[in-house]
Amino acid sequence: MITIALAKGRLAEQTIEILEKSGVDCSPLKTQTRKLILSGVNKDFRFIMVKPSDVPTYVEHGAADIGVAGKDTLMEENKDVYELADIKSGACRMCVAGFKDSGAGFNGNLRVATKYPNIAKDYFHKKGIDVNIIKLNGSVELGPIIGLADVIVDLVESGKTLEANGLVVIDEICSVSARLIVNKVSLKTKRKQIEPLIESIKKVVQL
Amino acid sequence: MKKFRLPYGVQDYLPEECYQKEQLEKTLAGVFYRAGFERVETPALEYYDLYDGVLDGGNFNKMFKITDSDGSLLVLRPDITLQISRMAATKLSAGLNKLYYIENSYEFLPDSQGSSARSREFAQVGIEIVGKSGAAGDTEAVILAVEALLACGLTDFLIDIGHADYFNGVAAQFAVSPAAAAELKRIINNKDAAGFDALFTQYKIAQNARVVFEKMSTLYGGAEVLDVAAKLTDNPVSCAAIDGMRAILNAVKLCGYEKYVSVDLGLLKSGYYTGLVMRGIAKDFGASILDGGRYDNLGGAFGKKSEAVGFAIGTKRLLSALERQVKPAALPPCDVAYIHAGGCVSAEFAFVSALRKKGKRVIKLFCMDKAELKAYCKRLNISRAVMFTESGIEEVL
Repeated sequence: MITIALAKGRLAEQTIEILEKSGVDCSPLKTQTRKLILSGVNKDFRFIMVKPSDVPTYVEHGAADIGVAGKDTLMEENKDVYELADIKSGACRMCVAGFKDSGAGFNGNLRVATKYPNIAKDYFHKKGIDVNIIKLNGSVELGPIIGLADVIVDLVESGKTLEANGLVVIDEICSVSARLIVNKVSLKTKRKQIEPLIESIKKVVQL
Repeated sequence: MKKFRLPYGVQDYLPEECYQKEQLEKTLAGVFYRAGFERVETPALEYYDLYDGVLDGGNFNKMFKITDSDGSLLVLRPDITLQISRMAATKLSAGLNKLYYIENSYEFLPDSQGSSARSREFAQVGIEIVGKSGAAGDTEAVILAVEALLACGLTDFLIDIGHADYFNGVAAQFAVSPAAAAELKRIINNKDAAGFDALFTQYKIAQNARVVFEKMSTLYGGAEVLDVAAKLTDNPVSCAAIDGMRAILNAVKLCGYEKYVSVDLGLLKSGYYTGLVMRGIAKDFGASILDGGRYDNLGGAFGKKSEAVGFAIGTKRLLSALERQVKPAALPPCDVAYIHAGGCVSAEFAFVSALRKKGKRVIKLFCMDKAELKAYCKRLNISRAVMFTESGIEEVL
């Protein structure tokens, strides 16, 4: 049996659609239920619904064989997993944003508000800029507005939230989308079940 | 209750688990000892400077550091292989040295990484073959790894083997820069299919090389993988690597162990490996239980160049993997329990030591009466209970 970890929320629907097209029976996921672990009729697959940032953790430990997680989470958590395919959904950009002129002061000790302290630290470290990271769990855009931080590091999808708050993208760190991740042991020990699934997912994604 | 807690990433071994760990270590040590390996011990503390120029930057952050009274920096042993390389280069004879060890290693992990699968202190049992051994040494390491895991009772496992030179050969042929090579290794090792695009826009890499690198992460499976790999490139370094792996697979097959060994040319470890790399995995356990490979340059870093190949088994991980496949033997009960309720001490001594000489486990209990002794023995499955009294030895059970 293959255990698939799915991120609750934004990514879930798109992921389920892709899995279904790849021949995975997702019917148990469609019933209204508060159960966190769901298995299909023929027991080939079971699904666990977890918080998006926990998907890599479940897969790294082998508690789930396969998962779908955003590249942002993978970069932030830096887990030891195979990242077998880009499933293209949830595409956006990891950006540094701030007021139009915040970019000018990229020296001294910059205050950076972010949900992604590791990504932010890494990015500014490579640029040789000393930063003071302020970890927030949401509404990061508030940081510069209220004076908590000089800039933010966050995911930008359409840029509308930034615009509405008078912020602009100062630099793009990388592009981000959902990735199919596989436990490093499962790929080898459950190869007969996992490989065909990955191949069909790759085909579906390319369509 | 903070003062009774343990820091993050370490553990106590209570009797049951400690017994199983000890049995496992005895079994592994037996396999290595009977193969002519000799045990060595290394200190848990070493000078930080020792690793200067031996390890690359990132590893220094992963060491526990302590300041000595003279101000010099000490580290808690991060890697036994490094210590044995130092030992071999500075203290052992120049010929062949086959060594094994049972030690704990330490990795500095910030406790904010609460979800990590790693521990700060981890027990390992491993071997090193230091001295000229060539391809035969690689083969012995792989076969010994299989035999060690089999001896522990593990049935469903794989030793994945790869080779650093398959990648190195291609990278050298197309003059890939060290920075690009490091990034490529990470991407291939994670089979990160989507990572190549970003990399190829950042670094200029020849089209012919791109094809090989992209394919490399998919080159895993049986001996047939080596045929595919051989067709992808004709540079002599990569070809020699493939020939070496063929030789190992042939030997493994002749020993009847082919079901336990598979190839993964995308297994590219960072660090000091120069040839064969190996990684042991077990069904239903998410992390590797065995790691190793060939590291011919480490000796040189400690002043005496020497070939070397070896591997380490993570004792705790192997225990966890075993629990999922076979039930490890439980801590056996004592054979005899007794209490002293008066009477001659020399009679007690003679009786007990005679039994212990025969290999029986005999436990003395305190503050119990006859009924309590009986109940205790029944509860713990102890088959014989004895009480010493004024009138002699009384069998209670």
